[in-house]
Amino acid sequence: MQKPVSYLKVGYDLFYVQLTWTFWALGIFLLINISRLIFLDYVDSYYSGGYISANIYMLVIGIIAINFLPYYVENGITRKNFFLGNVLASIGLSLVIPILIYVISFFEELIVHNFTSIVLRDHTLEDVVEQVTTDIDGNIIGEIIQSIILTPFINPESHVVLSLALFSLHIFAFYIIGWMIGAAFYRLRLIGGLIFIAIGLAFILIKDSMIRLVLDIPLFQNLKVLANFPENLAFPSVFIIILVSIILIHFLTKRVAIKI
Amino acid sequence: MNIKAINLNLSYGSDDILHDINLEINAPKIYGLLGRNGVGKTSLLSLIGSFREPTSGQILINGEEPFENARLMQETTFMYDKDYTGETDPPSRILKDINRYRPHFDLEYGMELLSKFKLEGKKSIAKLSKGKQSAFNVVIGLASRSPITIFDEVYLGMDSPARDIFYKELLKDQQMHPRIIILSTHLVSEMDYLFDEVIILKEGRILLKEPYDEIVSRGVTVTGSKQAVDEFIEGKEILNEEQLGDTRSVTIYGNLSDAEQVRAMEIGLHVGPVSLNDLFIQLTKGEE
Repeated sequence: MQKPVSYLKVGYDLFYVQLTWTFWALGIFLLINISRLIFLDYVDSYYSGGYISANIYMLVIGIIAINFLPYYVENGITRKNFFLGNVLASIGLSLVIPILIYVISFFEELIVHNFTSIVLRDHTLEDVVEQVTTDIDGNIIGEIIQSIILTPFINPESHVVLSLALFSLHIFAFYIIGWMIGAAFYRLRLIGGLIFIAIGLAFILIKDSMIRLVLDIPLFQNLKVLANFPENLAFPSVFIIILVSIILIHFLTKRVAIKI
Repeated sequence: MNIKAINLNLSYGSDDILHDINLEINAPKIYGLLGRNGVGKTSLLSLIGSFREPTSGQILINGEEPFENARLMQETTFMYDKDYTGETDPPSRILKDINRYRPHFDLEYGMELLSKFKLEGKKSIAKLSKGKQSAFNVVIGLASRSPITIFDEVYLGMDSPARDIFYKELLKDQQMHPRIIILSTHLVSEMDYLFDEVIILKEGRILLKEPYDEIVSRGVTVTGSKQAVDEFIEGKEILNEEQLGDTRSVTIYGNLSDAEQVRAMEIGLHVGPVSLNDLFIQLTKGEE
């Protein structure tokens, strides 16, 4: 008998497929950004815009990632190897997407600065994050939505590596939480899936608040209790949330029946 | 390869599907898995294919449980009536991808089959007709050349010329690369000649597992003049009757004794084998 397909090969393939989707998504983001440049005077940079869109993009592809599972099991790959492979693929995606967005943004700015008079706003996102926090205070739905689309931001001009790292962390968390929700629907059907949506949203809010604590950005009113959370534990908590989500995915999928 | 089911049970919640299945499959032959709708054929095959786990009892492949066993899972291919909605790749691309995972996959043979089934275009599989999608499932199953290959009703959507190509390819490829092939089907009379052995499931249990030749010797068809046949079959269990003019053909269950065979010849009756389909209908009667 031949050696079984390793999770590294599965991971590479999953990374490749999802990267292909990502190129499409980034291309569409760029088209939107360019059309805004044509019609508007003040436009967010591609990086600022991408920072928002990438969160939703990763949440969505995370949710549908479970659909790869039947394909792999059908082709003789264990659930475990798919799980390990896709964890690696999602880490890879989370690292590559911020860099791609940064590079595209860099060239876009270069072109725009040299050939047009359009002003690209880059620093605004930080202000927006703080501004919106005060605007929507007390509205839990608004707080959840902001946690998804307007995650705490570090300006790449102030610290590029830190900015990219935070970007990666956010989108990785979104992918994993999406995958967890998708896996819950696959395994536990509707009711279980809905419960996991609630768990997922709670994780997103906590993750967002922890990063706010780290970056010294005001917390949402409904989450003010977290202000007393020890600041030195805030950053590790983000990793714990991601780890707990990964463990939950493992338990949801490790013995799941493939539906046919 | 060896497949063994020991006291195998499967339930979906409170719904019992398989009861106490004991089964052993050893030889690289073609097995026909027959049973009425809902008796648990697909469930049994999903257990062999590691798609799910048994509720109790064991399914063993080469003495080991296949579920989540990477070495054994890659040796088994379970093709079912798959839904390709949303798939954007053409058949040839999908075959190349599968080739990356399947240790015995023969890509060249796969491509040859694609052209035989007229699937070589660039159109995505989702845009092809149901029949073509079924044919594609057949291509994957054959080209995978897995030591355990299962086709669960994949040929249902295929038209008869396509099914004919499949049967011919199956026999040809099985001769060159013998493996355990399990065909579950409702097309009994069309496919019976393919089976080396027949397994019949009834109400979630194995009703019988016998070589094809033995099972069809469980009954006989007696043909002759109406009067002679009627006289001869008196008191026997009738499976099927047909009549054309004065010629009557009756299928009866059970063997004929030597004396009966001689008598049949004397009164000018022709005695032939029974069809698997007639036996299948008789044996699985009364499930509703």
